[in-house]
Amino acid sequence: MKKGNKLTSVWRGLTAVSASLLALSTLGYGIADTWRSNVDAAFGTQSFITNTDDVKYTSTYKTGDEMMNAAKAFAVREGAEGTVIMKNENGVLPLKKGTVALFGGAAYRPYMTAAGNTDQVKLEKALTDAGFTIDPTMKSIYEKLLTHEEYVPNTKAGDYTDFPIREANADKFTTDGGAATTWREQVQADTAIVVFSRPGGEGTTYKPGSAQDAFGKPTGKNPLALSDDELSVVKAAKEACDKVVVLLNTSCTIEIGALKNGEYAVDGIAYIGIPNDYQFTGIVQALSGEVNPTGALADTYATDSTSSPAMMNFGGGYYSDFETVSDFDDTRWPGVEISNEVTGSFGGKASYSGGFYIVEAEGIYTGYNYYESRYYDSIVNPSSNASSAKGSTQDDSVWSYDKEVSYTFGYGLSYLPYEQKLTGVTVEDRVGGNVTATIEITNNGDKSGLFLAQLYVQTPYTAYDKANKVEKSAIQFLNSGKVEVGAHETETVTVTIPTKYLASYDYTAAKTYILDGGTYYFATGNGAHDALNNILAAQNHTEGLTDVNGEATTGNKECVATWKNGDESETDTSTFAVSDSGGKITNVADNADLNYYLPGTVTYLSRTDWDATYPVNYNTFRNGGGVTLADSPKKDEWLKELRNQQHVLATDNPVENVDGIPGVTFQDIGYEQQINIEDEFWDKLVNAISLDQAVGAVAHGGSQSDTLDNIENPVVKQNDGPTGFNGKALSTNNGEPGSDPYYVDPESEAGKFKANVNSQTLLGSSFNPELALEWGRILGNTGLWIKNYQIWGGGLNYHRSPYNGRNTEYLSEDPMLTNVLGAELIKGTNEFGIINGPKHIGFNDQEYDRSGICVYMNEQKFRETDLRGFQGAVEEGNALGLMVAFNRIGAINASHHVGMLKNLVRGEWGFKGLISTDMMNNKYYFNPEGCIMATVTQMADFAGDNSTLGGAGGTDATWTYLSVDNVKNDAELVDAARECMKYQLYAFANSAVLNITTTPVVPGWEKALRGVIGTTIVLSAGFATLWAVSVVLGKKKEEE
Amino acid sequence: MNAIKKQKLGTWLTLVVIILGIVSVIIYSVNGSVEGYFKGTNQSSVVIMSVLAIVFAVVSIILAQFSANGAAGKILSAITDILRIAAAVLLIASLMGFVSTRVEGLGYIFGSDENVLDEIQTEENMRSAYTAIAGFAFYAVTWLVALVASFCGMTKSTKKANA
Repeated sequence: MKKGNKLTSVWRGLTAVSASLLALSTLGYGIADTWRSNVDAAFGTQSFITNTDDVKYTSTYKTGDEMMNAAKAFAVREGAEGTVIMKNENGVLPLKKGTVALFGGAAYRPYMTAAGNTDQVKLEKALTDAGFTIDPTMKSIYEKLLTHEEYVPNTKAGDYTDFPIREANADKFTTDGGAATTWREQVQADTAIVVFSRPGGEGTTYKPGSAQDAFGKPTGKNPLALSDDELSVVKAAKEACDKVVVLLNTSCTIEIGALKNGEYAVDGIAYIGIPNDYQFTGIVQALSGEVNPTGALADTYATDSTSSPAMMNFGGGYYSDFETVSDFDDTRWPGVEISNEVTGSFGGKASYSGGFYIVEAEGIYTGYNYYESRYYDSIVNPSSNASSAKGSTQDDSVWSYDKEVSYTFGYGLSYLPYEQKLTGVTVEDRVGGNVTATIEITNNGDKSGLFLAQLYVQTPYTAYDKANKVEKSAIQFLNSGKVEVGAHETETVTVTIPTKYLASYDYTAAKTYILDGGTYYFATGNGAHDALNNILAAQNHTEGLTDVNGEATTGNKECVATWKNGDESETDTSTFAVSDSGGKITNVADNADLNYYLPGTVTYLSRTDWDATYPVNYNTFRNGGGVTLADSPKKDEWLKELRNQQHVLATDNPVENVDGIPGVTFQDIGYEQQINIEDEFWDKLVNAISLDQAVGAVAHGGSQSDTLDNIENPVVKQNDGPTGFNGKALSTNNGEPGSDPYYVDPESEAGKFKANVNSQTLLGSSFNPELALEWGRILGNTGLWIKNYQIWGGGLNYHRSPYNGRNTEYLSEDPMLTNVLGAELIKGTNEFGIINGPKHIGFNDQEYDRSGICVYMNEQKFRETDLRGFQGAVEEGNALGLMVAFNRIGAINASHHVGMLKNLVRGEWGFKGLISTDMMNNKYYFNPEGCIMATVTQMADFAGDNSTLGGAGGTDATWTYLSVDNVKNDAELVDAARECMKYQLYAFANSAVLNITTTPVVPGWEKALRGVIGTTIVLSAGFATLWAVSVVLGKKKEEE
Repeated sequence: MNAIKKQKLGTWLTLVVIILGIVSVIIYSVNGSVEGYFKGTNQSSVVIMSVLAIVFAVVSIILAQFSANGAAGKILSAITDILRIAAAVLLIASLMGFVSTRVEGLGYIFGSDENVLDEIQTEENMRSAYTAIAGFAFYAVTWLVALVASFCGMTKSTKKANA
């Protein structure tokens, strides 16, 4: 017995020792892993082998021809998937093969964002390639008409100015030697295709009521309304042909109510966006039925597009006392009189550019969120005054959805008859969780084809929301997917979306995202209106429901599934108060709200009372006048922001490291640094950069990065364009034949081919995230072929209104459609190591006075509209670049906005990449200190390799108040500048710029530690077993 | 038998573990709360593990004072042993947790470039660093004592004393 007790003590002791050593080695392994590079340095080992010969990123394509053909095939598919059939009666579509007559100047001169390849395909060619014959009479008529400049469709929208709609009136249709009336008899086609266009582009903004006729005579109509000349063409086409289909060639929704019913009603209407070089081939595939159309409207087609509440505050105007901003002796610019007037979209006289403003009082209710929510409330919540005449453009006494909306967001017809059901929804109610929906599609047609499934949600609009100014759209798009379904077969589409997007931002009480209690209705349908009708049906509402044509409908409960999140009284204010990357979410833009400076001034549109809260124009609301800066109790703070003084240089915080401390270089970057920006290597790297160059590199970021002493960093050139790498043929930057894997014969078709063939508008109306992923891959491959590793290749602003001409570069009125497409686009380019920076974050809602307009809004709008589009690209897509908008967020230059860029984009979204300003065209509006503190890594001055403040004793060439001598007294600024360079270099290190492979290996110390852990596991188990046996046996003997 | 005389080396060493453990956790808490480099860097998990180790040691001494026959005796003996083993493991885990939060700071304080040492090696930071090192030492000694104690019996057998 005594021996047994002794043995027990020994086994117990050995168990304690081995278990302790197991804990020691396991936890020690964790510490060693954290400090791996230090441990390696101490033992002289390495954990990763870097191979500079074995590249990490390679193209999918073996030859230039493969690359070219893939890009062309993508563009054709984009045209086919993006074409939206809006109306299809009397069997006009699909088009029957034969002769078609083309009407409208745009049929022959379509508006395109073309790459300019020599084999570009326009509508005529696409039709003839597909076997159609173009009616010679109409072609001949237009060939003559288009020799007159007045009849050539306008390709410039102008910037908030008069807009001539250049369309020849049908009374100009004459044939050689014939009378004006004889042409009709000569047209040989049964079907007329009429094309109308509205252009767009950078620096363009439509102005309501500014339309002119072809000869510049004001018509008093909106530029997006069909002109009398255009309607005459429709009428003529109806007279000449049995059937008429109208194609809408635009990114700015044209008002087409007249084409639905009445004198000018046509048989078919289709949206074709703004095609690039090859999309017309796909568009004709959709029109002719070669493919089943699956496009859906990315924007609401309102009867009168000024009926959107956003249009109550569009264009903007001056503060009544804007000159007071200039009434100031600016110590940065002593003796210089700096005006506060508007500068041009592309530059002009430098000024503070802070005199103009706009108030986005519509809040979250833009696009369909407005029209559909008001429709829902007019049925379900009459006390909300949804039917009041306020905001009505079609009736003086009542607001009517059917009269105000022609076609809603998400709407699009299929040739093949089909049914869909929402068969299930699961919701993971946690950060990082997903909503997963299964949608069953049954093809009732006799042919197989592609189908689109869309997922929407209605979240509860609770008493808490109403009390705390949290607004909810009655229907919200979440995501979509497409599936090929065989004839008379059924397939299931699974659609997922992060659960966080069900949360709403409460900027007044919780000051974070909240998830309301209550019932969530998920729905599918042919667009937002159909999905909402289905939800109404599920809620047992039967009265007042109307379909797209204004006819009574009942909705379909089978397209709805619910998720119960407790009771409506239970508001979850904590789950989504933390971001995916662990950042705390709280208000970052309180001062974007005009009420911050002038409490009680702005009333935001609310579903609690549509009539009482419908926006007024805040540029004319006070006896025709606007806001007065002097009225603010925070006038001084306000003026400081408008003078762009977001950071004032310190004079008492000396910099220790002025010249840089040489150590590691960019060439030393390995796997550990690529995966971890927290690795101490990064601090060493940027501490090697001198003050002069750290601040200078940000200030003069240009269209390329700059060479920096000490760190052997690469120069990375940028390219710009949501259509792709702009103006770069595949043979651009050819290396030597034989040694360059991406060499393309410059004289070959592929060598001359330019792959910027994307169409943002058609990508948006494709509603297909998988297509966006494919475009991202094409873009990524292109970057490798032309050795251009950074592009501003994603326009992700939302369409606040159709009047922003820049909508050509953006995807949709809906931030979530933009979000899901943007995320996939970035994932695609990332696969090939190309830094794809979406632009222009945020609120590029108009081009007019973009260079400084103050955009005021509340924080719910700030987060849930424009920024939501970028959030997916950063959080889900892991973007490594961003370009900032020109405008201000509230009174602060967006590029100086610490709340948006540092706190939200980096702090909450976990963004670690580079950030650029837009074109630095105004030295009084942009300044390096403001940009640096907001973590902007490069100011786009378009200069060359010029990363210096002027060196010791010199001053900066642009910002003459900056020099090494005074900046060296602001350690906070210099630290921030080095942090900016860290982000920039980190982005380069994770791109094809550093195209190396790194292979993990197990160093000796790690093997030893693993051995100790394994051994102690065995010993612990063994000794514990012996101890247990000893306890049992010892006691047995004792009992005996 | 007199209760004191009844105790064996294991009990006395466990008492030492308890005292050293209390001192260690106090040093850790102070190190993370007073002015200096490590202010605000403490993790609750280290304190929780340390307190649990001390509680386990105390409970093991108490349980060792009781004896029983049959299955109850086996269970009592097993629980006492498990608590002693767990206390030792928790102490080394506490030490490693302590170290993991101090590695970077100690490297910064003692390993920075000479031109910035004056700014880094302030009186508060040096006190903070030495307190941390002292804390490491106390935890390590406590753990070693706990290991030694785990080889030793805690009380003399009642049966034998009665005989």
